[in-house]
Amino acid sequence: MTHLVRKTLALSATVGAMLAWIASSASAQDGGTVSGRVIDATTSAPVISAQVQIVGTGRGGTTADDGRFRIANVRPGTYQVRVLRIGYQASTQPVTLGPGQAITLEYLLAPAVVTLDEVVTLATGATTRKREQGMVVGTLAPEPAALATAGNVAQLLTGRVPGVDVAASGGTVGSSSRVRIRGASSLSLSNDPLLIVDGIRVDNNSASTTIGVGGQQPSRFNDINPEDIEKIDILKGPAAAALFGTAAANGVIQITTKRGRAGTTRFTLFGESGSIRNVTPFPRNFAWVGKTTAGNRTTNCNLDNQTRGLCTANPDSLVSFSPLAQYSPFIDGRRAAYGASAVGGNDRVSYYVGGNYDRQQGVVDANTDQRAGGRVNLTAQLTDKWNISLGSNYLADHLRLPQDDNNTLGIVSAGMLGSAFDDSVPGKPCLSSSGVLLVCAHGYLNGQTPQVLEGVWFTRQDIQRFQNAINSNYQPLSWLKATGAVGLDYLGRWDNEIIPPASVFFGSLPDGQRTSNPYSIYTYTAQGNLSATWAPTSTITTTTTAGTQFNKALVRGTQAFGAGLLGGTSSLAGTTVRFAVSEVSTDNKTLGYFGSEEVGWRDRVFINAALRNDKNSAFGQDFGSITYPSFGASWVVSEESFFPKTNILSSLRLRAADGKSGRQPNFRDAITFFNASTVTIGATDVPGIAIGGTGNIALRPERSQEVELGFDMGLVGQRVNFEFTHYNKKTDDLLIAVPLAPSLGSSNTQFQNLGSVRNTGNEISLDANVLDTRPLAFNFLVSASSNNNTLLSLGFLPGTQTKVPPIIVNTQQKQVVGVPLGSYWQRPYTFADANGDGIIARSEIKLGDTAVYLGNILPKREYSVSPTMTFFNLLKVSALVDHKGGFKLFDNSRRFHCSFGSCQEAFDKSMPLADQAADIAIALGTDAGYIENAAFTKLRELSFTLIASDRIAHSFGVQNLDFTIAGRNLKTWTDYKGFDPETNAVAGANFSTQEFLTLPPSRTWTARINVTF
Amino acid sequence: MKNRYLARRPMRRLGTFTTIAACIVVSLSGCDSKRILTVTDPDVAKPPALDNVAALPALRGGAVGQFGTAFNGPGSDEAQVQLSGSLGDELINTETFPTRIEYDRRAQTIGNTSLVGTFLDLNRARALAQRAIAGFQKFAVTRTDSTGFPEVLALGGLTYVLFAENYCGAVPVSVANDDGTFTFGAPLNVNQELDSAISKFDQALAVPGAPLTATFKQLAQVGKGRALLDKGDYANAALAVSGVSTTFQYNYIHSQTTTAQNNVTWSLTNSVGRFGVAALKGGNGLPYQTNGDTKNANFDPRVANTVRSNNSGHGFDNGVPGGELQYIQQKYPLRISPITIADGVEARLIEAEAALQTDPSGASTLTILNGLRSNAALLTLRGYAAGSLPPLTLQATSAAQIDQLFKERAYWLYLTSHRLGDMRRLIRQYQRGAETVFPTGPYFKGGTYGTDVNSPVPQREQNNPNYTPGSCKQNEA
Repeated sequence: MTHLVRKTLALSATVGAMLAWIASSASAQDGGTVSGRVIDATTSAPVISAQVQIVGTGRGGTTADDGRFRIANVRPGTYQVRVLRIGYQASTQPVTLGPGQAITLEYLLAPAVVTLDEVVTLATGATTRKREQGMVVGTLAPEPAALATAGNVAQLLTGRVPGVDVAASGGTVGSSSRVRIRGASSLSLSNDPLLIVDGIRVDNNSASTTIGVGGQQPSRFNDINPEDIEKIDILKGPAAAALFGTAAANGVIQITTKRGRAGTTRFTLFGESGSIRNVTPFPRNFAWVGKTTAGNRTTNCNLDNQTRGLCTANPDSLVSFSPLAQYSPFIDGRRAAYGASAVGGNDRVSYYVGGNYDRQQGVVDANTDQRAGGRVNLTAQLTDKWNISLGSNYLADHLRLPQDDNNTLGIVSAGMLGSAFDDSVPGKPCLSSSGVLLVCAHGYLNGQTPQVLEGVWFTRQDIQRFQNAINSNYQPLSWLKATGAVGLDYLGRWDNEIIPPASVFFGSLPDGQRTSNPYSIYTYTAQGNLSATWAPTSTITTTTTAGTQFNKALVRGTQAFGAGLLGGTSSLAGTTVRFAVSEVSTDNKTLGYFGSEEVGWRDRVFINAALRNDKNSAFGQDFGSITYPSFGASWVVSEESFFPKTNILSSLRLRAADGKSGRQPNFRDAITFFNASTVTIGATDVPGIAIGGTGNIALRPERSQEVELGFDMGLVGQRVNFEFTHYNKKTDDLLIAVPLAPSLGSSNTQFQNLGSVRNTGNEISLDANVLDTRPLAFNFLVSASSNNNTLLSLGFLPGTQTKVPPIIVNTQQKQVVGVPLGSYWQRPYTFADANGDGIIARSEIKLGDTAVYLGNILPKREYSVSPTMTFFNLLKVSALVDHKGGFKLFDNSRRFHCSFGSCQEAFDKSMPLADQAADIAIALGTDAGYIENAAFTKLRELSFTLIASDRIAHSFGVQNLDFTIAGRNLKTWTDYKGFDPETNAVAGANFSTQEFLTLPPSRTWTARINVTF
Repeated sequence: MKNRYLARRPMRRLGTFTTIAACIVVSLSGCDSKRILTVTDPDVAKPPALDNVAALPALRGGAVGQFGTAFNGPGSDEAQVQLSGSLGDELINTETFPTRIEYDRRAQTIGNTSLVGTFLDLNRARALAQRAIAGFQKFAVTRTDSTGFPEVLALGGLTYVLFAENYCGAVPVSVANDDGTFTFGAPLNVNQELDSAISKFDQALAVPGAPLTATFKQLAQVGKGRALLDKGDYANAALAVSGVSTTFQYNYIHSQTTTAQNNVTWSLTNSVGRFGVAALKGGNGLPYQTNGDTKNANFDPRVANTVRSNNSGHGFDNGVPGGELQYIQQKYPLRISPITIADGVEARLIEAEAALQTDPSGASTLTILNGLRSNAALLTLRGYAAGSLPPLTLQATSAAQIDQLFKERAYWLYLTSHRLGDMRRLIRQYQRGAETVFPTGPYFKGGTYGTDVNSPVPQREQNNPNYTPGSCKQNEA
C-alpha cells in the first residue's frame, strides 16, 4: 500500500506540475477576457462561490470572496454569460467578445429559494440546470452548523432530503447506517446507493469488515470527509440514474468536493471539541429466591414458575440489581476535530487543499476512531479548448470497535444477561468456588466485567484510502465537446484482532487468538463521451451525447487466523494451533455504451431521451447485454406568455421522467464451484473439496423501471420553493437467492431471476424564507416523503408451476408476497387476566395457529422540519426535528432479557399485563410481543452559531469568524419500549433488523470555531 | 447571429459528430469486450477441474471431510451426533436458542432453521461421497488411483443409514448437476434408505485388491450390519459383521488445524455449554449423570461426566429456568478428540442382538456383552481401568434382557449417533410404546415433551417438486 500511495502521490505531483506549467504557458495565447463582479441585490454584499458559465462552451469559473470573477482566453464570439448560485435567482447577460477584448460585467443577484437554475451533475459528468431535466434531484450543500452536529456523511444526510432514509444503528462510533433511497427493491443484492465522488465510483460497502464484534460494522460511506464536500446531488432512482446503468437501481449519491477559485488565497481553519454521552438507562436484572418442588433453592422463582407450581417464592426475596448502573462501563466520550484548508488560484489554475484530524472516543473505552486525511483539488484551464481537474484524497483511519449486540461477551449483553446479585462484598475479595482469588465480576455474565475485557481484547480496523480522479473537458469546436474521467479508489483495509492467552474466559478464547485480514480493494472508473450542441432554429437547442464507461471493482484479501497464542506475543507468529488462512479474490467489470439527446425550446421546454447498454462480467454466460432507456420532460410553464404573472405563484415547472436501471449479480452467482477444505486422513492433513456455490448460467441483472411525475413551484415572489414528486418504481427479474431443496446436497441457495417489487411514494420539499430582515431572518425547510413497498411476486420454482415459498430472513422476518420486504411475522396472541390475580399465566394466553404479518422494517413516512432564525446577522439558531413512522422494530434486547430470566415483568406483578404476556408468550413460541411500533420524533439537531461582524472579524485580522455550539440526538418522543427506535444490531445487513443488546445512540454536544483569512 | 450560424450548418455538424462518434464506436467495438470483461477467480475450483484422475484424492478428502462435518459438526453447528443425542436421551439443552430447544423437547417444527443445516450437511456428505464414487469409477485405473474408493463407498452408505435412523421415512435423494440444473428425487422410506445403504456397502466390499484394506473392509462390514439390524434382519446383520476385530475402530480424526475440524460435541458441551449430559430425561431416559462420582451406582466410564467447573456450574443458559447444572461429557475431553464412526464393539453388539433372537434365554447375548466388558485390549484402547466394567448378570425376562442390551449399546455407543436409531428400533422392532422409550411429561424449560421420534425433513425440501409435504411422519418410528 505504501508503495502504491507513494507512486500515486508522485504521479499526481508530476501531473499537477505539468498542468500548472501548461496552463501558465497557455495564458499567452490570443483571446478575450470576460470578468466582472457578482453582488447581492439586496445587501450589496459580494456573492461568493457563484458559478459563472459561458453557455455552450464549458468555460466558466467561480466568484472569489470579493464576488469577482475572471475568465481569460475566451475565443471571440457572441455568448450568453450566466451566473448561478444556490439561494439566488439565476442571471444571464449577452456578450460579444472580440480578439483580445476585455469585457467587464456586473450581476445583481436577487435572493430566492427557488432552485430551477441550480446546477446538477449528470451521469456523463456534464452539469446542467435543474430546469433542463425531467427528474427531481435532491441537493445538499453542508453548512458549518451542520458539520458541527454531523460526525459523518450519513448523519449529514439524515432528515435533509426527502426520499432518503438514513437509519442509524446505534451509539457505536464508527458503525454504519442503513441508507435507503425510495425504499428497498432487491431481496438478495445490496440496496445501498451507488456512490460517486467527483465523477468517480467509490466503494460504498456498508458492512465493510471481516471480523464480527456482534453486530456493528463500519461503512465506507463514512470515509468521505464532510469538510471537503461542496455539494451532494442525489439521483433518487432509475428515472434519474438510468445513464449510470447497471448498479444504479438504488439511486446515486454524487458528491462534488470543493474546488479552487480565482483570487487571493483564502485559508480556513476550524477546530471542534465536544462530548459524547450515553443517555439511555438500562433495565435492572431481577430474581426471586424460592424453593423448587424438590426443595432446592432457586433464584428463578418467577411468576411463571409460581403459577405453574414449580416453585414457592420466599417472601420479601424479590431482588434486583443492575451491573450496568452499579459498575458502569460507560465513560464520557469525547470528540475533537481540527482542520485547515486553502482555496485560491488564478483564472488559469485554481486549487483547493484541505486537511483534517478527527478523533472520537465513544462511550466505552474500547470504542475509538481516529482519522487523518487530506485532499488536493487542482483545476487548470490548459488552453481555451481544454481544461482538466485533478483530485486526490488520502485518508488514514484507525477504528477500534467494542464487543456488543449479539455477543455473549458484549458490554450491554454482559450486563443485562448477567446476575441480579452483586458478587462482591465490600472488604472481601472475590473467590472462585475452589478458593482462587478472582477479579469480581460484579454480576456481569461470564465472570468478567466489560472493563476487564476491554482492557485485553482489541478489535481494530485500520484504513488507508486513496482516491484519485482526473476529469477533462476538451472543446475542439464551439459546438463539440469531449469529456473524460478516469479514477481509482484504493482502499487498504486491515481488520485485526488480538485476544491474549488466559485473558477472556469463554469457549476457546482462553487459548488466546489472533486474526489478521489485510485487504486491498480497488474501484476503477474510466469514462469518455462526446457531446454536440447546436441550435437548428433560434428557439430550439439540442445536445447530443455519446459515450462509453468502464468500471471495475477488484477485491484482493487475505484472511489469517491462529489460536494458542504464545504469551508475550501479539501476532500470528505467536499462534500455535487452529490456523486458518485463505484468500478472497473478487472481480467485477462493467462495460457500457450510452447515448442521449436533449432538446430545449425557448429555454423553458426540455425533452431528453437516453439509452445505455451494459455488459457485465457477473452476468450468466447465456446472457448478453442489457439496455436501459430513459426519457424526461420539463416545462417551465410559468415562463409562458399565457401564464398569469402573480406574486403568489411566481414560477411553476412541470416535470416527468421515466427510466430503467439495474443491478448486476454478485461475483460467482452465475457459476458452480467448490471450495477447499482440510481433512485429516490417517495422521495427515490433506486437501478436500467442499460445497461452494450452485451457479445459474442464465443469470441476468435486476431491472428497475421508475416513473416520476412532479412540479416545482416558486411562491410569494420566489421566497418559497415547493417541490412535489410522485414516483412509482417497479423492479423485475429480482435476483432471488432461491432456497434449494436440501436433498440436492448443494449450496443453500441458487440465484434466479424471479419476482418483482414495487415502491411508490410521494415527496415534498418546502424551503421558505419567511422573514428576511436584518434584525430577524427566519427560514425553514420541510422535507416529507412516503414509501409503500410491496413484494409483488416471488415467481415460480425453476421448471415448475410451484410458487417460490416465502423466503426466511431470520426467525422473525421473512419475504412474503403482498407485504413489504423483510417484514416481521410471528404467531399472534391474546391475553386476559381471567382470575384477576394480576399475573398473566400461560393458561391465560391464547396463541394463534399461524404466523401473521406484524409490520415492516423501513418507515412508510418521514418528515423533518428544519427552522433557522438569524438575529442581526450575528446569531443563527437552527434545529432539525425529524419524524419517522409506519414501521416496527424487533426489541430483542427486552425479549432476550426476559428469556434469560432477568426482566422485571417476569417477576413483578405490578408490571403491565401486556409486558407480562409478552414474556410468557416467548415460552409458548412467539416473539410477537416484542415487535413494537417504532415510530418516533426526534429533536435531532440544535445549533447556535455566533457570527462575528466584519468589524470584529477584521479586528482579529481575519475575514470571517464564527462559533457554533451544536447538539445531536437531544430528545426522542416514541412509544417504543426498547432503548431507542434507531438501533439495529445488524445495520450492514440488507433486511435483518433488530435491537439486540445494542449500544443505543449517544448524545453529542460540540463546540466549533471557523476562521477564514 | 450565433444561432443563425449554427442553423446554417446543422447537417454538417450532425455529419461531423456522427463521423467522430462512429469512429469511436468502431474503435471501441474493435475491442474484444469478452476479453475486457474476463475476470480471474483463483479461489475456487470449478467442476471441470475435478474431472480427472489427479482430483481423486481431493474428491476423497471432500467426501471424508464432509461426512465428518455432517456427523460431528463443522466448528460450532450441531450435527447428527448432537441431534440424535438431544432428540433421544443422551443430551439435554443448556442454552437459550429456541431452535435447539425444539428438538430437545421432541417438538420440532419443519421451519426450524437449525434443522436445515444439519439435514443439508448430511445430504452434502451423501452428494460428495457420490461425486467421489463417480470419480473413482470414471478415472481410477491403478491400485494407487483407487486408494480410498471403498472408504467413500462405505461413508456414502453410512449417510443413508443416518437418514434412516435419525429422520422420518420420507427423505428424497436429489442431484445438483454441474450446469446448475437439478434432478429431483422422490422421498425414500426407511427400508429404501437402508437398501441404498446396503448396496453401497456391498459395492465397497466388492472393490478388488489392495484398496480394500482391512480397515475399509471392516468399516463396510459394520455399516452393512448396522443397516441390516435397522431392517430387523438380525441373522444377516450378524453375518455381515462376522470377522470384524473387537478392537477395530474407524475414527473421524478431529484436529486443530482448522476450526472446521474441531470435535463439535466437545465444543457444544465443554466449550460453550449448549448441551449437557442428561439424566433420566423425561422419565424414560438412562441415568447418565454421575458427576464423576465412582461411588455413584450409576457411574460408568463409558459415559463419564462432570459438573461444569465455571459459570457457577451452568451452561450457556446461565441456569435458567430452574438453576439446572450442566453436566459435561468426558468422552471427548479435547477439541481434537477423535470420534468413532464404526468399531468392533458395534460388531459384537450386533452379534449380541442377533443372539437374542436365536437364544431367547439371553445367555449367548450376555456372554458377548460380558466379553466386551472384560476385553482387556478393548478397555485399554478405550482408556478404561481394568475391572471398571464388572460383568452383567442374566436378566430374568426377555424385556429386561432387551433393556440390558440396549443400555449396553447406549453406553458403549454413547454420543456416536446411534441412540436415536436404537430408541426407534425399540418401538419398531420390539413393540415398545413411544411413551415408554422417549422422554415424556413436563419439559423443564416450559411446556411438555412432544411426540417426535425422528427429525423431520425441513420445510425447505418443499422446493423439491417431487417431495410430498405431509409424507414425513415425525411420530413414526
